[in-house]
Amino acid sequence: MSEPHVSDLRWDRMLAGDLAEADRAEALAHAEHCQACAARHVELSADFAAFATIAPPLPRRVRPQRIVAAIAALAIAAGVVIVVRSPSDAPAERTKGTPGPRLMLAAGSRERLAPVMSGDRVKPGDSVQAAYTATRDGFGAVIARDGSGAVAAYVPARGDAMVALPAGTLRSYPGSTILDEVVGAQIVEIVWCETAQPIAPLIAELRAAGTATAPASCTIERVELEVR
Amino acid sequence: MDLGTLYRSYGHSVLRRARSILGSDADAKDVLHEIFAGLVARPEQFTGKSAPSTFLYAATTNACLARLRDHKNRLRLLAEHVEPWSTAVDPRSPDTRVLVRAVLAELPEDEARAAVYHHVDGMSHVEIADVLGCSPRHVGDLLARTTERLRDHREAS
Repeated sequence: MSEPHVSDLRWDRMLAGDLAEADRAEALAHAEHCQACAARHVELSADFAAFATIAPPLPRRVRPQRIVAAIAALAIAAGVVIVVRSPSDAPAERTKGTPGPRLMLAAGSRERLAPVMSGDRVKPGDSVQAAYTATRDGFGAVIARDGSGAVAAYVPARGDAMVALPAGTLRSYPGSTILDEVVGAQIVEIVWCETAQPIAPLIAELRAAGTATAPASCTIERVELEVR
Repeated sequence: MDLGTLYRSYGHSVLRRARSILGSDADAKDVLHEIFAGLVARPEQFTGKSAPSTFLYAATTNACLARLRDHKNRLRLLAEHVEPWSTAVDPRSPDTRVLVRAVLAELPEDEARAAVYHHVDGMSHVEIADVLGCSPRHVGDLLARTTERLRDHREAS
């Protein structure tokens, strides 16, 4: 009797990192001598990777939308000006007459997010949430360097693919980040691009130079916070 | 596991399976939204007692079968989407899968679920038993009954 094929469930668990090592090794060993399963593995892996770029945003609670609306109201009340920094050596390509995205950052307790700008003070345990207004669909990421010099992507939480950001007014980047105990200067760079770009080079540049240069057709908003 | 991680880890499989069962990209996206919007509104649905994959496989199957059982939906899906489910590299039999899909809405609930897991996902009896919460032997009985129904359906048509 021939060995059974590897089911989609097992491949899905493996791609999600939920398959035990022994099961993972068994599935891969089977695929080594089963052409159909090897091809299916490649197909599902590509499907998994593609989802990061084509997926609609995670449905959100009504409540966070209220929070974003509150952010807008607060921003207006506080006279917040969102300064969008475009790359000096690679100007963003924009369709004539179409305004670029407006990017902003909010921070605070999960129930009371408020817009923040460079120089603002936040504390460990605060949530940090990026938001945007864009007239066309795009892709984005949020990367940060904390007081210890550690650099990480806040959005997406993992992987090297930017998240899809549908056009809209004051929409949230998917997922917020809770600041850990590291105090000091916290640099947050909100990235919006017309086309999906790899995140690894931006992270590497932020780590090495303390700032990331926006690729062509991208915009970066940098916010420097004080965590204490 | 937080919802964002769950979405990034398993959203692709929800979308792919819904597309396979329903044969419609638009309906599959609706199912994806329906499942995760439900989790955002009521995160307590996922208790963590079962594996995330098991929970989402069951949720997707149930959502798709509910759509197929809606008579109007079923007629529209069967009329609009006649392409086979399988891809060129799929190890499973496309003929059987087409046949299963045609009778899916007519099968009793537990048989329909077992048929989806076996014929669409290529799952073993043990894996199906894990998702359905029954014994592998019961899975064998369910699939045997489905096989008989498929034979009758094939002979009748």
